[in-house]
Amino acid sequence: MDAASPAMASLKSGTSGRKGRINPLLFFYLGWIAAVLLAAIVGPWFFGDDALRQSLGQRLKPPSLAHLAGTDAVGRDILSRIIVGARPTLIIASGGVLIGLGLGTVAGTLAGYFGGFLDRVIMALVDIKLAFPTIIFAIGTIAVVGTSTAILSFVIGLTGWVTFARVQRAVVLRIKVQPFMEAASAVGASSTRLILLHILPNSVAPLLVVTSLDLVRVILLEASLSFLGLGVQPPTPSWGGMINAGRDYLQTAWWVSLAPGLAIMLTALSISRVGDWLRDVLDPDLG
Amino acid sequence: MSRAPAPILSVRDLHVRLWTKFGVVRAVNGVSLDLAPGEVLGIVGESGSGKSIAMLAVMGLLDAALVDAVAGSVTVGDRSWNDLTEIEAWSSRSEDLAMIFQDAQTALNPVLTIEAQIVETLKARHGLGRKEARARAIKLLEAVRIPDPQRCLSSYPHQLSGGMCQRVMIAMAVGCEPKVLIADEPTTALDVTVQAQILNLISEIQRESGMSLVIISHDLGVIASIADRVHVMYAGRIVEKGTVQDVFAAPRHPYTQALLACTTRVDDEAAAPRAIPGALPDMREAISGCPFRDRCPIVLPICATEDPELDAVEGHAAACWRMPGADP
Amino acid sequence: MSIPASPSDFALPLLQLDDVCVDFQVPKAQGGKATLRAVRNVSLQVMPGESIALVGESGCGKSTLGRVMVGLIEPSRGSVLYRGRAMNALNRRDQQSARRMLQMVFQNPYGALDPRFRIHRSVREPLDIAGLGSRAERREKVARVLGLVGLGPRHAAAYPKQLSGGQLQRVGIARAIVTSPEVLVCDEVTSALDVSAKIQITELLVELGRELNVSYVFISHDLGIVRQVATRIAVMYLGRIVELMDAASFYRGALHPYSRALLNSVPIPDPQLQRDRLSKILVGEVPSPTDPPSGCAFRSRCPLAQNICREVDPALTPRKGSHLVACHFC
Repeated sequence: MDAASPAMASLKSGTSGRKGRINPLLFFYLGWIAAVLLAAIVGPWFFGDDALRQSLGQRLKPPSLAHLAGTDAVGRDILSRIIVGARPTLIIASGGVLIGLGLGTVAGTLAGYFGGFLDRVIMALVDIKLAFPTIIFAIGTIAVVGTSTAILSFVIGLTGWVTFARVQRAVVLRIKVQPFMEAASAVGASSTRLILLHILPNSVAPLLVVTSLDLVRVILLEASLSFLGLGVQPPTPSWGGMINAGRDYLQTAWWVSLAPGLAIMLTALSISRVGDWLRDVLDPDLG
Repeated sequence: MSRAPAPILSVRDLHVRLWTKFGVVRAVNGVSLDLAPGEVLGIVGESGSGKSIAMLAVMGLLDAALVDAVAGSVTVGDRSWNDLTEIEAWSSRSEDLAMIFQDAQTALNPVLTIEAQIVETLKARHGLGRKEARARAIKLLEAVRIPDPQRCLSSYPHQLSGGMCQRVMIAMAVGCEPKVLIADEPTTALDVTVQAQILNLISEIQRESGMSLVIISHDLGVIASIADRVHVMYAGRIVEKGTVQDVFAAPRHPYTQALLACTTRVDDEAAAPRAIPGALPDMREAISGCPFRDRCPIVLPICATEDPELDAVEGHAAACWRMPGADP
Repeated sequence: MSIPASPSDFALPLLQLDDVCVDFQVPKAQGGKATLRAVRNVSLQVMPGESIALVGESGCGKSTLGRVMVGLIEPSRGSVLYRGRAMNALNRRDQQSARRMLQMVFQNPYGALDPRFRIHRSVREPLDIAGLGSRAERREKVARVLGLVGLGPRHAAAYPKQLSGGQLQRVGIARAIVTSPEVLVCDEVTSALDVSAKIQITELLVELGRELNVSYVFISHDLGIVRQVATRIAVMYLGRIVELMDAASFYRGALHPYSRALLNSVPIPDPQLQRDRLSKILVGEVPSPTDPPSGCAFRSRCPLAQNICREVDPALTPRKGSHLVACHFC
């Protein structure tokens, strides 16, 4: 009856975007992330020499067929340096995010679940951290203990845990009042069990969103630190350091800063969009 | 039942397809109905029967982001709308139609006082000044039996009980002087003693104002409380319609019979309720044949292939091949 | 669970509440805290094989009382005795095994299961926590219990969002009976369901009650459904039991004016009779439990109220047989 009805024949199907439809751009973002990962893993084997080889005759050449992204102030191929620079950039960023995620999730879960005094102490630490400028903290720490990949990751992680802690605390407060938590208590579940088996698995989706946002933040922070000369030390290329190196030539050789800048922007954008998509896929309420 | 007065609201061949998490669902499949001036029409059905969706589509209040398609026509008084997808249609129909909902507490804006909400509505609707609107608001709140209207006006929704919020919603709806009030499960969220009060109130206000009323409910008892006529909905279509006396005393459609048989009663010793076997058909598919056939105790071969039309005997219609008059 | 061995065991209540009070501290709108007396001086016994219904409107304390019974809420005063032994006097292990005998089915079938657990894991969880049986035994028990509530292996492997409300409520029941409890507290288990599913769940509970020899505490505002399961009915108003009697005579012989008003307020699917009932309904709404009326809590809405109701809170006193009523005038 439906199909034959004249009324139904005139129906226009709606076309507005909805959950579950895959945005074609998503494939581009996924592809970009895969390319960056591939560069980080195998890049140094293939482009390691090119990234470091200086050629004073080739200084500050604009993009061409020989140098697709141009060359820098000492004649090194910028594209090779971006590819090789992916590894330190990603190691520092993911290390920093993982440290922040770990610390923040533990702090936020404890604060949200137990409340009371513990909650007030943890939230006071969060407020103190938020009142303290990130860059100053990073500069201070690196000035005292020096710089290395591990130290950079750690410093970056210490600046990021508060976001995770605050989000996780809010998430725990929301989950804590869900009926299934009471149902688990009613069958005798301990606090450890409630936290490990019920709260944490149900926090994955929101934490994932924060993780993707924080990856973006951390890549930019590493860039800032490198820009200030506190990041990865030359001659090892890192994206932030490359932008810094191009600072003096912005008027005359814009490509020196532009190419690593584009790499950071595309990577950050891709991670954030893929993170959103993963959240939609993983969230049981929306699925 | 006389067919004499021109209907105040008439709906023809309404179809609605909606996006849900399971895909596109054919929520309403060819609903037509007429509402006479001053009449109380009950629409009864289980969740998923399409009763609320149908009336939201009539109001023009469907969430545009979830609508896949809407078709059909709505006539209110002497004005007709044939394209129900138009967004502006709502504001034009809202002059004549008003609606109240199940959850009155969330239908009110939590950050505004009752006064701000009710007075703004009256100012916008009738072009009243602030003072006149306030005086009228107090009259309306008295009409819905709110004990202390002054205090109610200065309250926020969370300071009022669910029953009080529903009274405020009724006052706001009635203040718009609609020709038709559509009440979607208005008492479902309320306690039984308050439910009885609200049903009485709606019924009294309807009689006093002479407006028409559509009451949507899953509860046969609520329909029996105030409706003149009843439409029984199943799988997005009307399967039986007639006066409440006829339909409740002698249901003709097997679904209506099953629905009555699974309703518990507190007054009658004898009847032990019987559940309806099976579940609603998959509403994503276009259903060929009768949508109730998989759960029906008296199914015929034709039920699998052809959908029975509503067929009236003395104003009491049912869509079933077993009915006298139906031609298998 | 073992069936009581001697007749004297039958006389012993499974669960006994003695003068239980529950107070909550709630924030006041004007700031500060107010005391909400959710349950006031309730004494009640749950006998083996019986099905006692707690009925009343929202805010009457029935759900709180149910949570006290399974140990989710500690009473502020009074005691809870399981088989004659006070719960709070038991050591940790005894308390845990006692609580396994007292299980609860929750109102909202969609929310009461962890969305990330497959059904069989949710049903197995009580066994995992209690450490009962080997892995294989647990798996087998889960399958058997799911079979009892009418669900199969296909449902067991599903996630909650893939099941209907009625099926989820069956899972909730399976989870509650998997540890073979003696008392099952059902908190509004049918209120989120469609009419037909309501009946199916009630029939299932009645059947399980017989098969498993489990006693029910059936919390509900739906007197039509209560009629299908209850053997005794306790009517609550503002934290107190105002009437307690056997279910068979409740629907005709309830005496308390509130019980009668409650019965009269339930709409029935008969247009003539129903319109008549609507003409004699109760006025007013339930007063705030932070500020209940003096004397009898129901007096502000009671058609029988006199001066004495303002001053003296009527005690629950026997009428005919085991019928108890708290009212000065009936």
